[in-house]
Amino acid sequence: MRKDITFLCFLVVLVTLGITVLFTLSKPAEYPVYEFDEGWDVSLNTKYLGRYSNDSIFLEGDLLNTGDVVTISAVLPKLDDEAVPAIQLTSMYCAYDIYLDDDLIIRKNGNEIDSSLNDSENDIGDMDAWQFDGRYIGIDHRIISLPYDSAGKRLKIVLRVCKDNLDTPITDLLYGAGKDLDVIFVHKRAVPLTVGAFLIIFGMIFFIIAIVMNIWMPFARSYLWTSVLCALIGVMLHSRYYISYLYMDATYMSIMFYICIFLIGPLLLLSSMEICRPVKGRIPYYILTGLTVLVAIVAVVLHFTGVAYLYTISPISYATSSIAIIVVMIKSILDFKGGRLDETAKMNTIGLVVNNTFVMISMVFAVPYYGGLIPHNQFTEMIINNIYAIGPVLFSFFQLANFFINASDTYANAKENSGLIKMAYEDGLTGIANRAKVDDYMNKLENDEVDYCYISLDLNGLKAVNDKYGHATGDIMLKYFSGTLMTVFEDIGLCGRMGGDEFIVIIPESTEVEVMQRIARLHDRLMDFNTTSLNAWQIMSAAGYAFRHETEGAGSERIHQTYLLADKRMYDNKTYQYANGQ
Amino acid sequence: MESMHKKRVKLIVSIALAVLTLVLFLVNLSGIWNSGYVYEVTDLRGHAFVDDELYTTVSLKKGETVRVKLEIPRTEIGTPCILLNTHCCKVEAFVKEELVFTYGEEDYEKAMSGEKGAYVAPSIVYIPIEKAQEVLAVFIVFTASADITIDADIMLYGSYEDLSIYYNQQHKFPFIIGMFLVIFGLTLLLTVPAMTTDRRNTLDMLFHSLLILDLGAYIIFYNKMAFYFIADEKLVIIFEYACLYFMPFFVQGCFCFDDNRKMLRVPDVLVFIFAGIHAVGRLVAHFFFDIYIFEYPQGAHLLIAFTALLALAHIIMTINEQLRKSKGRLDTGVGKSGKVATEAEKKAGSFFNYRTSELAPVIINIGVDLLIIFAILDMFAWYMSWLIGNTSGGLSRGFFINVGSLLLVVCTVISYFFSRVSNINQNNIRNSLEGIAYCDELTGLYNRAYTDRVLDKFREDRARCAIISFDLDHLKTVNDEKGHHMGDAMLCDFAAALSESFSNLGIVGRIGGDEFIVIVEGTKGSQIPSHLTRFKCNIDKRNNLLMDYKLEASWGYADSVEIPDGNVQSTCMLADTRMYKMKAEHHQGRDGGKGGEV
Repeated sequence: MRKDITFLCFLVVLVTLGITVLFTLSKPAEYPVYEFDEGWDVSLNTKYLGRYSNDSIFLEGDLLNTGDVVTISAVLPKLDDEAVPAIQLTSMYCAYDIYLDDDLIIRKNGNEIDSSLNDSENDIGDMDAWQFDGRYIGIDHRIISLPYDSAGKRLKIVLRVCKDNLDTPITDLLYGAGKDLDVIFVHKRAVPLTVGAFLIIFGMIFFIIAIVMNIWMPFARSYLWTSVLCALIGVMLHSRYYISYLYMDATYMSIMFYICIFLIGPLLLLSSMEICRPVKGRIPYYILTGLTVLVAIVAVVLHFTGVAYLYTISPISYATSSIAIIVVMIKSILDFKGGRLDETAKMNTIGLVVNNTFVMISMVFAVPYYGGLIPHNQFTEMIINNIYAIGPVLFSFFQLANFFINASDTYANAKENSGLIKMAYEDGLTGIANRAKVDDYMNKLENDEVDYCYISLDLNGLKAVNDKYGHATGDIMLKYFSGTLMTVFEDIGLCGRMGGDEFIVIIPESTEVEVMQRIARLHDRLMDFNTTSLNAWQIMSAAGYAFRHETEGAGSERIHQTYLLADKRMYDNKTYQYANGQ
Repeated sequence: MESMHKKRVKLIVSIALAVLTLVLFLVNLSGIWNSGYVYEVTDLRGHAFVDDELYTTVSLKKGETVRVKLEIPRTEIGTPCILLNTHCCKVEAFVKEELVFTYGEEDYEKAMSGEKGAYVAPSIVYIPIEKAQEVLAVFIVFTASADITIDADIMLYGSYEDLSIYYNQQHKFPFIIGMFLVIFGLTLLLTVPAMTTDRRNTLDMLFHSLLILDLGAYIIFYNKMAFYFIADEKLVIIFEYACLYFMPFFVQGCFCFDDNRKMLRVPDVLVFIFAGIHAVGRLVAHFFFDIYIFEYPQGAHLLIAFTALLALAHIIMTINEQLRKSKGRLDTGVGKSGKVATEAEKKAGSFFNYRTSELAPVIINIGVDLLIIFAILDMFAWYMSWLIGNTSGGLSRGFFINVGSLLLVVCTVISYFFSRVSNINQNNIRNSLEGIAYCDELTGLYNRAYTDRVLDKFREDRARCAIISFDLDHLKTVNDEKGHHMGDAMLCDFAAALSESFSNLGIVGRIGGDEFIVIVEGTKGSQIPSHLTRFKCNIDKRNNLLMDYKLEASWGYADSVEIPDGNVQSTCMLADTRMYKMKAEHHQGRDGGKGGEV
């Protein structure tokens, strides 16, 4: 336990270290970047509102509604000759036109026909030329290049609001060299970018592998849902921070985000369900999961049929995810207290709890941030950009940590097991198989219905040697005998010591001739030893063998029969030996 | 059964790999979004000249120049510019013989004046060309600031926004894969100290994580995506080549510390050491002597080739050995008693047989082998483009290494699943083995081996424990007078009484002929007197029923808190002393079996 805690501390330290490194890796802009400190001239529906600074434009005043037209304009400063001038903007649920001294540069989401009309007439003030047809317009993030001669000209952005109760139609306005803007963008969002990329690929790989392994390994099922959850969080991070614009069309960014937040609730529930599958009380869980999935499906259907767009339904998704988070947290804590979790499940549960904690922290932080209660500066922006990304990466780490522990446990276990195997299946004194091993082997042969020969051997005079010369001498005698037994029979069968002075050999698929030859060889070896050694004692043994085909019955009964037969013959042999004075 | 199973595993693994590769191909090939106004070098009919000779891929000495002529199509593009990927060259762009853009002038002058460590940083450069539409041609002049090889560089023409998106999309695959590998490698690396010190002593996990980290970093640097993060662009190229040079070192590290690769240990270690020296040497040479790190990559290529040869040799040897083994198994068909484990292992392995435990490291090995194969493919493509003169550059963009490193990670994850399975199996095996190894055959109680182990653990942890020693009286008399079987029955009866009374209190074991022990953990020791009373009742009940013999026993108990330093051994001895004291009292003719408090 203490090791675990040290390990966790170590981990937290390294993670924070990594994050600080990420922040200190700064990349300065080559050319100056302007944040429009002079402010924007803002007008709403042809009514001039005044001049606002870059980040306070829309925090005050009434909410905007569909059909409102917001026009902002500012004069562009001079850039370096070798820089490619560009402007970065994030438009929220707005169609927009960008003009530079009354020349239309970009028109996004305008009607096609009207735009051509507008182009020829060059009539900016004409609001009727543009008709909002009620389709969905999401969030757009762009870095738009401007003509080289734009310095000193007036940049004018006409935003046509396509959503009710909108507070901010446009954010992230920056003007500078294109490459600088790209670098600043990526750099600000380095953590969600990296973490998102990691989670997407991690989720994909784990999902594919888990789905395959699920066929054989029941535990793989829990990774099925957690991996989807990871990938989903990755996609969510990339769409939430507009990162996906780097590699795909920004049109679907906000839809992707909303679908993700609708699905996170049910996936959390499913993951937590699979991590620890309780015997009782599943049904409310399933009902809850089913409901959240249903809500997600209904929301998507409503969106694509145009009845209600995702942004209007999204509060429901926050509600469902909050409920899911609370339920999962409560279940995790109960599982922990109930002690129903094994090591793996514990790790996964900790991961889930950590993830949820970070979600809650980020939620708690986001409300006052976007509500304007916390000042917007570099530090708070950094927190809001990065805090949520830490949770999921720890979540995936806990999943992986499980496997790391397993991988190294396997190694340690293999060593321990080999020790145990020796204890369990080897005779302590002679090192040959013991009774347990012999029984196992016999059962296996019997199950496979393999014919075998059972040789029963008895070491004559062990008791006498023990009494006369001491136990140590008796042990030497036993060791020598078992050694000889091994050299004679090892290549064709299993030798074992059944206890005291009883030894046996089992030879599968053998012939009587072979068995007799081998016994004779054993006898010869012992004779050689007796004649050459200077010991006062001699090793003598009696043997009797029986084949499986000589007996009848099945299973252990047949084994016993064979054993009895061999034993009887051995005793006959012994008597014969004594009778002949050997 | 076994072979069927193996076949299935192989099939599934290959299917998974195939699906993954397919998905990645699709992701990579589909959807490079193009606004229609992005022109590649071939669209621009780019021609390059070195001393009036046409070139495709070229080696430049320091100070040599290449002129590239680009024909600009007549289109209305908002902000026309050219995107370049320069490689340690000074860049000058001319429109109508007029210099409109320069890059790296300062560093170039420094390099030419012989300053140490001065070269033009490789970078992504956007060249604004306002007036190109008037003349429809642009000349770009590259002047090398060090000895380099320029392979087909990316040159794109279009508006800035289009170019930036186009370039990012072209590199999205390596970018995302690289980031994934970096984080994955870091995650692995984080656990390594704990794992290596705590659980296993080999270093292959360390090298494995370093390899993945290295690959991720290399992919990001190679694809010039690091310019988003790193301010000093001169460092980028050092990182890129350092990653390349350390790659064979880490691969060999994985091989050297892999227990399954014993047969190639000597060449493995040799290449490992050599690769390490090479990598460190190149870094030293870069900083202290003027041999720049990017100047001769052939050495690293050679090392990777060596690594590949070793991997190939290992694969062949393994297959050979497998064939021999399977033959050998057919011949004898009998397990030797020296390797007696298989039966119990097979019995215990619930849904996978025990051989899966061997699969986990093998799969990681396959992953590393695959990585090397793909790395070789990349190298091959690079040399081919150099030889044949492939200007498209598509082949030399390091695509295969992305796939290779992904496959490495896939294999790693698969092997984790297998190690999980084998871990479960081993636990089952251990449980069943412990049942056999730690069980007293006659009485079914724990045996001495187990109680010793438990006591050792208490000793190590210095934990509190209480010990009760029992001695069954008159066993020898019964044995001698009524035979061994009666003595055995007596032992069994006594053991049953013990386990009835104490099994919920602690561990009950038989540690010798007529000696028994109960080990009680921690504070439960205070419950001993009440349990002893119950035990006495149990014995009395049995004695009322038994005809052939009477059960009589002496006992003594001690708690480790009674001993000043809490020593387990002293506790045992104290318990024994008390037990002998009671025994002596019995022998003095006091009423036995019901012995009072000690």
